[in-house]
Amino acid sequence: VTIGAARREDTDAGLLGAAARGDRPAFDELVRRHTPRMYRVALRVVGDAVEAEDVVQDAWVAAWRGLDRFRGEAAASTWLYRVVTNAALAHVRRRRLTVPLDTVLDAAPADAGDGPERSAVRNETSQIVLRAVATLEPSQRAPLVLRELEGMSYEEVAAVLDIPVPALRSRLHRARVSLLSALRELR
Amino acid sequence: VTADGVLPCGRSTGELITLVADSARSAHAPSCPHCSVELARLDREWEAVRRTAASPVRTPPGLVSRVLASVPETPFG
Repeated sequence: VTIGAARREDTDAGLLGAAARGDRPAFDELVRRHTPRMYRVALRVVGDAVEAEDVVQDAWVAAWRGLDRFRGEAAASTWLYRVVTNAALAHVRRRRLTVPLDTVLDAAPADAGDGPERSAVRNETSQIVLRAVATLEPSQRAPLVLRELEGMSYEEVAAVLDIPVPALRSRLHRARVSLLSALRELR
Repeated sequence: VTADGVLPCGRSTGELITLVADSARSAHAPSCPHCSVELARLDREWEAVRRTAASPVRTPPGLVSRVLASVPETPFG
């Protein structure tokens, strides 16, 4: 119990550094702390609740196995966003080879807690937006989700995707135009 | 006007989408009737994206436990 309490007070960077030295409890605390965010990103990129769970599991296994490549040059959150984004995009690219897009969209945003009617409208809106996101090319999806849905800065998204900011702006421009076109078609 | 078309004032819809998405302003747009109309339209459309961003996502019950069970004890396991 004492160890657990101490873990909860550790910073992400401290936990990641300890995990990189093979400290499994430190890694487990990162899992408990960041799985909700990892799941949210995965769901928004892949557009399917069940597949998003698979992506999150793949991402954490990849993170555990790739910890020796985390050298602290990026913020812990940047590294974790990168791991889950890469896992989600890999999943999307594999799926595009095998499954028609319209058979897999089943997003599950939560109730907003402000009444069933508003919540239903919000969920319907989210479903439509996630369907529109799922029509985008993978190279456009990740920047759009990270910037427009996760609310990250251009610099943060560029760091996660490991691309220069001007290249990110170009991708985002195309993604936004494509997203609005898709939204018009879906409404 | 197409999704990324050009308005009579010479501004592209794509430029205006960037302004809307970034909640940014330009010196030209407020005084231009073409941009004003298009900006208002794009802003209404973009509202769905803002709502989605603000909508909480429920983590599936038991996901953390399943993750912890699926990660091998050692990185090379």
